[in-house]
Parts: sequence; C-alpha cells; structure tokens
Amino acid sequence: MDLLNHLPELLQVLFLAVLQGVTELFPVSSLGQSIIIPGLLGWGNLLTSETFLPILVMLHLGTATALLTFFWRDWVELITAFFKTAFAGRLDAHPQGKTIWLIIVGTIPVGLAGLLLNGPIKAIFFSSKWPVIPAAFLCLNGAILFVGEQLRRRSEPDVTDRYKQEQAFKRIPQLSFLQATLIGAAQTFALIPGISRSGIAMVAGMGARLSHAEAARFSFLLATPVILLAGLLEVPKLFDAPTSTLVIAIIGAVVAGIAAFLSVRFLTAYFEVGRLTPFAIFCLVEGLIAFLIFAPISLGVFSLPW
Amino acid sequence: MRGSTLSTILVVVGILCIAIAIYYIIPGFPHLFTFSDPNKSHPTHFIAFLAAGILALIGSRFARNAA
Repeated sequence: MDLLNHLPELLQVLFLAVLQGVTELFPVSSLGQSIIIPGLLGWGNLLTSETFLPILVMLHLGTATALLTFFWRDWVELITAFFKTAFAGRLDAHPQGKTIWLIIVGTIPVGLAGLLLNGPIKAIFFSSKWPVIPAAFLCLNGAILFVGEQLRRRSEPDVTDRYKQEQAFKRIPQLSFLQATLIGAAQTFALIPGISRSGIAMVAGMGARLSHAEAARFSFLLATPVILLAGLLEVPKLFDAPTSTLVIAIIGAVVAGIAAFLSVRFLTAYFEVGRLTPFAIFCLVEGLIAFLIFAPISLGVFSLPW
Repeated sequence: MRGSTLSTILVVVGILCIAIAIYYIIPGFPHLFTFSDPNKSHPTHFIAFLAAGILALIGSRFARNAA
C-alpha cells in the first residue's frame, strides 16, 4: 500500500490522533473537541462517518494503552488486590484492596449508563449538522470547572504554600464507597459531547475533599477500564475495514498513545499544585466562540468559506 | 446501615443483575435499552450485567465479613 496516495487522510488522522490523545485526559471534553474542531476546519462530523469509525476505535485503544502504560505499576498492584480481596472476602487482604473496589464501584454507573443510554444520546446530540449543542455544553463544562474550583478555594486552609494547602485534603483510599459511586455517577454526564469526563470526575472528587492530584489520579484510574472496554467492544468494526484504513488507524493509535502518555505525565505533575481555572477559561472561551460561529450557520445565515 | 443488611441488599442486587444478564442473552423477544435489533441476543449487555452481578455478590461477602 502506498501511503502517499492516502496522504490527505493520513494527515487528517494524525491531527485527530493528537487531538484525541491530548483532550481525552485534559478536562476539555475530547468528544466535544472531536466535533467542534473538525467542524471549524470544514471536515464535517467525522464521528458519524462510517469510514472514520475503525480509526476512532484505534485512537481510543491507543489512549487506553497509554494510560495502562503510565499507571502499569498501579494496575499490577490493583489487579493483584482484586483477586486477593475477592478470595479472602475482606478489603484489608491487600494494601490496595479498598482502592480497587472504589474504582470498580465508580466504574459501574458510567459503564451501565454508557451501555443503556449511549444510543439515544448519540441520536440526540449527533443529529444536528453543526456542533451548536456541543459548543453550548463546552461552555457549561467550563462553568462546572470554574464553580468547582471556586468552591474548593473556600475550603482550603489559610496558608500560602500550595503543597501544604493540598496536603489538607484526602487521598483516594479515604473515600467512602458512596462518594466513589457519586463520582462514577457524575461521569455519566460526560456521555454528552462537550462535558469532560475527567473534568466532571475531578470536580466531583474535589467535592468529596480529594486533593487536586488525587482527584486527577482517581479520574485517570476510572478512565482506563472505561476507555479500554469501550474501545474493545468496537473492535469488530475493524474487521470489515480495508487494509489502507487499518494501517492509517494503527499509525493514528500510536500517535494518540504518545500524545495521551505525555498528557497524563504533564497533568499528574501539574495538579500537584495546579488548579482547574485555566481549563475552565479555555472551555468557556472556546465554547462561546464555537457557539457564536455555529449558531448562525445552523440557522442558515452564513456558511464557512472553506 | 448494618453490614448484614448491606450484605442482603447486595445479594438481591447481584441475583437481579444476573437475571437481567440472562434476559439479554435469550433471543426471540424484545429487549429494552438496545439499539440494534431488539429481538436478537445482546452479548455486551449480558457481559456487563453478569459482571455487575458477580461484583455485587463479591461485595456482599465483604459486607458480611465486616458485620
């Protein structure tokens, strides 16, 4: 196969791979970005294109592989903890025993909601030609991050050192199972394009008094099985794809994986002392600009010149 | 909530999830919340509810041991 013959498609996929890899973990809604940015570039809605389905599946698998690679030591411990606690019937049978069950409990609401509600949500939010609704929900995502961060500031101890401020908050094993369920349930809102899964999980985690770093880590650990299983369930769609599409999809998966790995490395370091405010402002500004562009287009007032 | 009560609730939830899993795998009658042919069997739904059922039953052991 001559890749040069597929160069425009390859470049489009590479762009999408970087976009997917980065935005899946940054709290800026990868689903919303995957609709809004191709819409702005005049590519249409690639997420509903049959040609792009196998490529999107591979991009998600690439991202999940990056998360597994970054947290591989944690996952080895967590899987060991699962079997030890399940056979012993006691959470204290392994030091990570409670953490793995918090992750499982947090994954169940979003897993079942994804299975039962993904179809109708896609039918509602993917039906419009232009991404007005994801743009509006991206603004809402920005507002959620902003309010979550403002509420957190009020509960922080009155010291100037950010490390000391963050140390006043909980670590993952200190969560209750009810709190883990609520964090997992909050993630179901991310089925709506424009609402960030990692963002809303972080805000919910901070609402349960986790530190920023622990809320981000819990969000990434919750994301891994969800993204991996969602990707694996779509694998049969790869079987009918032509070889050229598969090769491009594999290249895209590698690029998405590298982008996701660098993103998770950056974010885990950033949230040691960093806040959600820059991401909130980004979502509010981008969502507002996209809404102002796409709303008149959807009404037929004007069209993009490209 | 007492551990024994929670354990009983989790056993009920577990059995319910396994029953729902069986409902989704048997073809020939309409399945709710499915978006391909509702009369076919739905292995994804089956696996998800079976996993949820098994996890609830394991959870009931934790609750019983903690009581």
